[in-house]
Amino acid sequence: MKDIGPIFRALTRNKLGAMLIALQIALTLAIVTNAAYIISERAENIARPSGLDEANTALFITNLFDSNVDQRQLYRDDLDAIRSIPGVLAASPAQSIPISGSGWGEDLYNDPEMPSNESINFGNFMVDEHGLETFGLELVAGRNFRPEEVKVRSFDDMDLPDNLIVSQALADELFPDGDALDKTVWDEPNGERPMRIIGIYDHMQNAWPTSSNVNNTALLPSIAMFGGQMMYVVRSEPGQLQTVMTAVEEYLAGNRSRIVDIVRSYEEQKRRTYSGDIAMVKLLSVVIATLAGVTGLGIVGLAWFSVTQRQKQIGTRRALGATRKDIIGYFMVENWLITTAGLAIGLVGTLALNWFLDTQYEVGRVPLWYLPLGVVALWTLGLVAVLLPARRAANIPPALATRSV
Amino acid sequence: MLKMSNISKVYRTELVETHALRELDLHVEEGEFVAVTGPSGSGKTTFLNIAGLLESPSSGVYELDGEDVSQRNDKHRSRVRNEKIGFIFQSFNLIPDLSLADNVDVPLRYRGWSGQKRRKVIGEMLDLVGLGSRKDYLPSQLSGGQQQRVAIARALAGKPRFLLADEPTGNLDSEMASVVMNLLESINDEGTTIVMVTHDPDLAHRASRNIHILDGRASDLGSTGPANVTPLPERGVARV
Repeated sequence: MKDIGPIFRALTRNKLGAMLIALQIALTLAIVTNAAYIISERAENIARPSGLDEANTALFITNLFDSNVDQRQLYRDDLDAIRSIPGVLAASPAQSIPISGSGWGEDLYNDPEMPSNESINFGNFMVDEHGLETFGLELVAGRNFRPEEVKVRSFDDMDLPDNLIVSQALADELFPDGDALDKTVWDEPNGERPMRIIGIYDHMQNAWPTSSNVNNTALLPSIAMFGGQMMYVVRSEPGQLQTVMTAVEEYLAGNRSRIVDIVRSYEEQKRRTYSGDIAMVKLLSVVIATLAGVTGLGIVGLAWFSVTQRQKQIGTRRALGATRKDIIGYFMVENWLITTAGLAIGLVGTLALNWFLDTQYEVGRVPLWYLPLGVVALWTLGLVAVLLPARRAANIPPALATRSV
Repeated sequence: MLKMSNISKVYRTELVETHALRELDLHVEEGEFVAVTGPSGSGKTTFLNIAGLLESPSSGVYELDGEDVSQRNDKHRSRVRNEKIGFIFQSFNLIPDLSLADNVDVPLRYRGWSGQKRRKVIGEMLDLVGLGSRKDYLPSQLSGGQQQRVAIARALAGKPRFLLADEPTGNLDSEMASVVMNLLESINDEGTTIVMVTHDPDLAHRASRNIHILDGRASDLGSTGPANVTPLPERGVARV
């Protein structure tokens, strides 16, 4: 650092090249920090547990085209057959699964007098008494559904069941005092359509990954019969999923009155739901790597050019007593000053870009601790990038001072 | 002060071997003002580089101030250059982006002196060369002669006992050359040993002793200058 004063003064007299690199560093900090934040947000979202036994769960969607078939009986027959397939741990009808992007949302009231704008939204999953086990949920309070409690829900009969099992998150939001079990809730305002909470399970997400209350879910003992679409969720013994999927598909396809639309593992479904996020993470990672690479090469280029241009000056410094270490230090300090100036501008740029992205695209506010992290990363990048040109400078012989070119 | 014995310097490439200096013997006493002359390609610059520890000899022994410095490591040679040798270059070699004060400061920073001490010395040196009032100027704002005076201030700032001047007036007109030579003479009068490489016979005559280098060999032409020349016990040691 012994040359910091003269280096700073020299830079202020010869600004252009340094300024361009400083601006590049500023831009890199602004983009990299925001991109890193978006990546971490998306990655965090993707990594959230759905609540299901993800590795061992699959869904099957069929469509009946024969309207004379007794759909309720077909459900019974299908479920009996599927549950008897070796390797199947549990199976349930369902109208949706978590993080599929498509599901049912409803509102609940914890008081008949509760105004409708204060109702609590939740994701509704219609299952039978095997739903808890099929989804791999842990009952933390209360009991499971009984077979006789399962109702059919169709366009002709939209009646709700008498009870439901809710997620811990929904229970806590409905009854913050922790006494949700056995409480009555209403599906409509003014005390309409009451249901009783008979159980609470640990955790399950609703169908929409970007939902603000993604953990508010409930199982309703219902079999959905809206049109000819029939959906089954099947959970296999660990490691048996592929075999089970093949066997279930073979069974379902054996019925000529329907077609099998979808046979898909839950992990694949989740990948599809998050495909936009996964692509964004990959794209932004490439942007970060490219920008860091281009900035690093820019620093190398500027420093390399600067060394070439100042060979005589470096030789003179060596002649006047500079050691190789002094010369390396000189270029490191010079680069550090340029990088620091760029980072100072970049900090403002980062916040401005984040403000823009947040107001326009609701990406959220970058936590402030990202800023020092970005600064340290780019300082490191700058120092590493300048090392090679600095070492080249240090190898310039002092005898160059006496050469006429 | 400076003693070279059997110094040779060979530059080797894949195709050719160039003998820049051949078994050169040379002795410069403390307080002398020695002019080294010779035609282009004779080995003057190589001699200067070795004398100034800018290069190492291929063989032979070089003693500076009683210490054998011929094969010392780079770090040690840098320290000796900084502490004992002042350089004056033909094209001044001032750093264009630095003010005159910062230019004079360059060797002092490598010496590790305190800021206060450095500022005092910089002021004194620039006053000595008559440029004290222009310490914040850039070299480009000065004439050639003024730039060389700044270079002399820089060379003297670290209080070296030995000054090496490479064609110090080579890029100056005769008037400016005379000013610079007068300055060098007064510095020599203060006791600083000077070895000056020059083409100019008139300037060489102003030195106390002339050494002629031809084809890498030196011959001592003896005393030519004013009466303050130190008697040389080994006068005429140059060997062909």
